[in-house]
Amino acid sequence: MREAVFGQLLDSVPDGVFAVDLQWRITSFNRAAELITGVRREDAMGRRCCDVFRASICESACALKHTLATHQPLLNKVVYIVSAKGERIPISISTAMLKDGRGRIIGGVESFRDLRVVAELGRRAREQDSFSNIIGRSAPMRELFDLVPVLAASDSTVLIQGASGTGKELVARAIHEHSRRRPKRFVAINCGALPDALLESELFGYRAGAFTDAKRDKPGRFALAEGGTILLDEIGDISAAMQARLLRVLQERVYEPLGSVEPVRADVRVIAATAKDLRALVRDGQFREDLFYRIHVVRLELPALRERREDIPLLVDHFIARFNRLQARDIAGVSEDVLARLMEHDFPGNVRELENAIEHAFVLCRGGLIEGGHLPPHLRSGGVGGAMRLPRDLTLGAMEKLLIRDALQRHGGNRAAAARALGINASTLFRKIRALKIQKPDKAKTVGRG
Amino acid sequence: MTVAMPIWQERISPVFDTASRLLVVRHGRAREQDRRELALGALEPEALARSVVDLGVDVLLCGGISEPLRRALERGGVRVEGDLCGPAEALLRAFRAGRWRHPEFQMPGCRGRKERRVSRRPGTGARAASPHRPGRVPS
Repeated sequence: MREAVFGQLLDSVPDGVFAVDLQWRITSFNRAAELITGVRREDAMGRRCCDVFRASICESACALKHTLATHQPLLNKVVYIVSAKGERIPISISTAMLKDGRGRIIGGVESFRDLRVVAELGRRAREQDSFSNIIGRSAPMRELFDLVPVLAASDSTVLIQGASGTGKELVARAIHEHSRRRPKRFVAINCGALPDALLESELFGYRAGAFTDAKRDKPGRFALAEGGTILLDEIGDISAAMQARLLRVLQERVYEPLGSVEPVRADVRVIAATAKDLRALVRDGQFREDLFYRIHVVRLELPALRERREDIPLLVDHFIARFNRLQARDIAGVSEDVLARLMEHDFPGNVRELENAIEHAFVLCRGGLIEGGHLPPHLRSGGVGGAMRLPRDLTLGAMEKLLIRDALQRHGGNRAAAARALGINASTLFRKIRALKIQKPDKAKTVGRG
Repeated sequence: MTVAMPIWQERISPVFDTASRLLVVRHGRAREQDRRELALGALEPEALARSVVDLGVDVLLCGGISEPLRRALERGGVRVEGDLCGPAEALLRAFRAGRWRHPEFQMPGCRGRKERRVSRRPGTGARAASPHRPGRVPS
């Protein structure tokens, strides 16, 4: 009776479990073990475990043999097995000894987990937490994820509003990627970064001879994006003259390259983005009302990071995974203190600021967890503090002194490490310490600091 | 005909992909002509298959084997008789006698695995005999 209950219990476990006697013959084999290995229980019972389990370590480093020899259990060792169908299945195994009522070892037990399932679950979780590289699980981001496919299905002009670093270009790209225009190009241009004449030639191109150095035709961004999507970023920063030219393109879908008298038809979806309040600009007479309504067909407002703080841990994990991949590193994550600090920060630079902070930490952190000392100075808790907390009458020299003292404290008085953290040579730091008459910090004060 | 078999503790290795030693036996018409034992390094499937092909092996008798490795061997003209277990010498004798598919040499749970014909490598005499048709293995 007890054995039947024990068998049912084992079969209800999602991990594969089998037991062996001291001759390595299988004495127990649960349902999950059948599913993962593809071997039926009746075929497995009484057979040598290596002939059933067929793991990459059976021959060279049998985990059960190790446990029975050392009396030490083994936890979560990653190996692979070759299934009855010839698949290499990655698994993590754990082992333990089996003892009888009198404490004598009578065999071993091994449990194993199919890591493909774990990986699949992780992939699905990541899929649910992201949409075309936009990361988030907060309510505003979920709404955005729902809206993007709807917007992608239409050809309407979209205005994306959001502060700097909120991911306006990512959203524009996601709309393009999910639209029928996907096979054609997505072209982004920062309208605020170029003077009028240059912006005009960038957007519409020019014909040979249009001006002194125009030796041959040059296609503009609209031509490059033909059939695709163009993102006009920082549209709130363009001049009145450019506003008029853009209005014509949006109204009539035609434009004239510089030096050309022939209008060119444009089959381009326009997405405009800005960090400014366009309606206020219209009120102030700085932005044409007709252009505003032309681009304001559908409006998307991207939330600031401080309005979706619950996404910060997810974004931190995303950036750590990304920098680990790009820089071939193995940073495990951030400490609890660091996460708490990041969660309470307002991030005026939004996701870009968070990304930069993690990238900064990757420079200073050699491995393991990112600690407070690896963050940029304005994010370090208990340090000199952000600019907002600095005294109003602070001089540049006094601020330098504060920064150096802070770096020295964080590195337990180690001047070479402090110099690295400050991004200056050790010799420069020594010179400044002497010049600013900085005392060596008390080591005890550094205990517990992030 | 040259037959190879990964061995471990005088038995056929449970997984060829990670086997450390390979027994290579050359058979004449009536008897064994020579044998040698080789060390196998930790190799990726393609490289391991190439090593076996380069040894002029016609038939590989093995235990568990992953599909990529099996396919690489078969592309090289090696006939793979996988999912076998048991003492190495008894298995070799059974193979010569055409009894290697006897249940005592079958790995548990591997009865239904599909066997495939292998294109014959010129000059080796390797051929795709049906494992389910008993009979002496031609030399």
